[in-house]
Amino acid sequence: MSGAIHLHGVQKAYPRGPVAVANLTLEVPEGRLLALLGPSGCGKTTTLRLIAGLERPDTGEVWIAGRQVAGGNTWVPPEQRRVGLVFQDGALFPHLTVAENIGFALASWPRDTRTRRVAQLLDLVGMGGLEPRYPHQLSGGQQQRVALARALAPHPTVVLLDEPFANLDATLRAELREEVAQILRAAGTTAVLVTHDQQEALSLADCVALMLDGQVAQSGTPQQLYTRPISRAVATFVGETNWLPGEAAGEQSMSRLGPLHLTMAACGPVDLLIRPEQIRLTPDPASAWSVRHVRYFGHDQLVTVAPDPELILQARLSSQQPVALGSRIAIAICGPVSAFPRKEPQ
Amino acid sequence: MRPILRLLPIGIALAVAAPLLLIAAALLRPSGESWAHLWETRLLEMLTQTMLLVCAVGLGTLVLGTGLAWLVSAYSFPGRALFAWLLVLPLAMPGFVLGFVFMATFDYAGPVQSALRAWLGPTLWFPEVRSLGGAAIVLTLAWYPYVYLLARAAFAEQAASTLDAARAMGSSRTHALFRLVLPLARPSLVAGVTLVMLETLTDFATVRYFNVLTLSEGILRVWEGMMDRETATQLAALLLLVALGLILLERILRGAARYTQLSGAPRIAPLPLHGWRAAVATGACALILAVAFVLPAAQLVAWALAEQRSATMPTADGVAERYIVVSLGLAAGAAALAALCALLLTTGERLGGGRVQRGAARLATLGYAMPGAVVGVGVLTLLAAFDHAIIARGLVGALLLTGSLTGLFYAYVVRFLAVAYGSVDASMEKVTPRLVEAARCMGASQGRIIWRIHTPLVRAGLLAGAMLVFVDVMKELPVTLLLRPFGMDTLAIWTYMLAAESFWQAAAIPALIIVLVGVLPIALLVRTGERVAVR
Repeated sequence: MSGAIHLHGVQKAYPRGPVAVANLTLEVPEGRLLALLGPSGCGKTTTLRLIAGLERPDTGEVWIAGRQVAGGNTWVPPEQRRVGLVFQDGALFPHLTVAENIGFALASWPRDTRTRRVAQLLDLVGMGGLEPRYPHQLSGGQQQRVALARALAPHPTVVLLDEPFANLDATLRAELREEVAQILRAAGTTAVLVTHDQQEALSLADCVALMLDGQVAQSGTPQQLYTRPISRAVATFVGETNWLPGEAAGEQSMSRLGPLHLTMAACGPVDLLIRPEQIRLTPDPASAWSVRHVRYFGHDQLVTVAPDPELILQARLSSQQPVALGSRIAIAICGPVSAFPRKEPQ
Repeated sequence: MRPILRLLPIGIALAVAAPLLLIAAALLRPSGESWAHLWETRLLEMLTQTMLLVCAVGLGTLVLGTGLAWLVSAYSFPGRALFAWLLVLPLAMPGFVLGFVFMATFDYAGPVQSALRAWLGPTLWFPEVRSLGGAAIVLTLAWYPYVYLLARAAFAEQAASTLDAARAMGSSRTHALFRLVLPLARPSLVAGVTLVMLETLTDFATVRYFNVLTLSEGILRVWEGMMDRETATQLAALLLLVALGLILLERILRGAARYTQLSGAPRIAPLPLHGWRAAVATGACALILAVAFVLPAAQLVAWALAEQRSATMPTADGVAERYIVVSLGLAAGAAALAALCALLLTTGERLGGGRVQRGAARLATLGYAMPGAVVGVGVLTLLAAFDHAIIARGLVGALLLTGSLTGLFYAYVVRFLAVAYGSVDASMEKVTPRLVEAARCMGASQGRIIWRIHTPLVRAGLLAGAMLVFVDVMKELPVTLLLRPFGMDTLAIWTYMLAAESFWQAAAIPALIIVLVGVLPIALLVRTGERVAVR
């Protein structure tokens, strides 16, 4: 088996509950950061717990660093898997200091080696010198840094992060997740990040696996997921969507906006996926399209345009571009678009 | 490690349940002969007296405890904040101590009746002190704090908006109390009264002072008088049925009701009282506190000082120290054992994780609801069976359990495990599954997790639980009386015996020590309460 983490045909159902993970196959390449993205209840946290060994799969195999840890008659308990785990709430031991928390997994190390490792990790997460503090004396962001340092301390084969930024406020979250990604890359560890935030997944991860209903709906680089989604569900989950009816013939399609380039060849009646930022607007008094609504965000603006009540498109524009409500406007699409077979209205 | 954790709770539960089951089994084999014998022991009188006393004390504590709780929760008057905590103090004075002080004060030869006779003439009528009514008054004063505490907590949980809404709809404060506040507090009130009723079932010393024949008293009397194990067991089985009936009644009365309200909402604002109303409120609190605690405690101090001066008891010196050492040793040992068992039960529940372990915890905490006499006789019967088996194998000698320390500690754990369990379980809630999972992922073994995560985190709960058991054992009577090794007496037993012989002065010294120890958990309660109030 290749890859640092490999799940093959894994199934997990909770007693008297629905199937949490169904026939899941997933591979995380060595030294990479994989984001496990999905709505709540899609089975992503269960997947993480299966890797950590906190849940036992009903069927299927789990491999970590070339060693089978679950499946068949094999079962390696979590304490022997060399896996670092960071929880949403940090789960720091409230009665231990920062140094004792980080050193918890290093109990068998000689004292001075342990002290040095703790100091080194605290430097890594930018909290040098805070060894004697207790968790309740730290801010939420600091607690998560300590939790990460604690997970990294025994040089684990893989680090698993379960929504580690969910409890933080927006500014801190953006700042910390950037840092965490850097720390993980610097440490060269294979990591799995569970998140329901598509921005977080796309911006941090080397590869993203989108889970829907207990299965991986699509996995690939962030660009692949965003620009070439393989289903409407994936397309909708990873970003904002406009749907435009069209007629595909090979790599080209025809629609009310003229000929459009397709990401993949298709044939027959299709719905074309147009991301709001693909739309360019230019004032044109002769155009059939007019501006119906403007939502101004500061860094950008979302402009609703329509030629008639049947078709409505949303465009994301720079906030510098002046847009007058009700003005006539011409539309252009940049870049290729994805096509999905037309859903027959029934 | 794992199988042990899974099996130990079951073992503890079985060990705790065994003596109780043994007593219950006695119900299934009542021969006509022993029932006839029971009838001769005035069974009917025992049952009616027990029922009357339980109802009277239950009603008394309900009215007194709830009334005082409402007074300090809903009104403000001079001394309110102080009384709110001082009114818990009577918990430190065991019923039998309060009982003998009352007896000494109000009986025919006591100072009150003597003074009245000297003033109004010798033919003065005075209600009989040695009666069911007298016992009911004393026990009500001793145990109303159980209801008071639970009622106050229930009132504190109720949001002010509920009361405001009722008043906005035109209902008076008193009307709202009966229509709204009390029904909302019902689960707590029922729980408090049930606790009091179970304590009443356990008591035998107070009722003995007051010449009231209850089931507990009967069991002890049968045991002491004729060492009649069969009759005592039958009576204990009957007592067990009554206790089970009370628990069942509580479940029914409480129903599925569990009213909780938003914790962040503002509390009921106390209404300031002025003039004579304020004086009446302060006076009522002061009167209850004086009668239930301050005056009896002062009387004990006065007696103890007089005893010190006169030193009429030749045995007092060396013996007193021995009693103290025995009491402290027994209490500390039982407290440590109960805390350890509680720790194993709660960890087993969480790490062993099955429904079996949760059931085991339920079973293991049943003993607290069982009157001391039932526990005592049950353990005795069980140990006797063990001893028989040992003798039958020809292993006579040091192994005998009846009348040994082992037996006594065993019975204490059966009786008080629930106290330690409640406290440890509450603090165990702080150890979230996440913490344990994090520790496991860091390679910690189960043993290390218990030692490094659970133990320090539940230390406060362990200490509090151990202290409650310690205090309970210090004032425990029936179990100790039935199971103590020959010649081993505790402060409580010493007090009880001296008082039974009307040596009030001599009884005052050990009684005072018990009261002082009893103040400890109340001080803790006040401190915790204040911390909660600060938040």
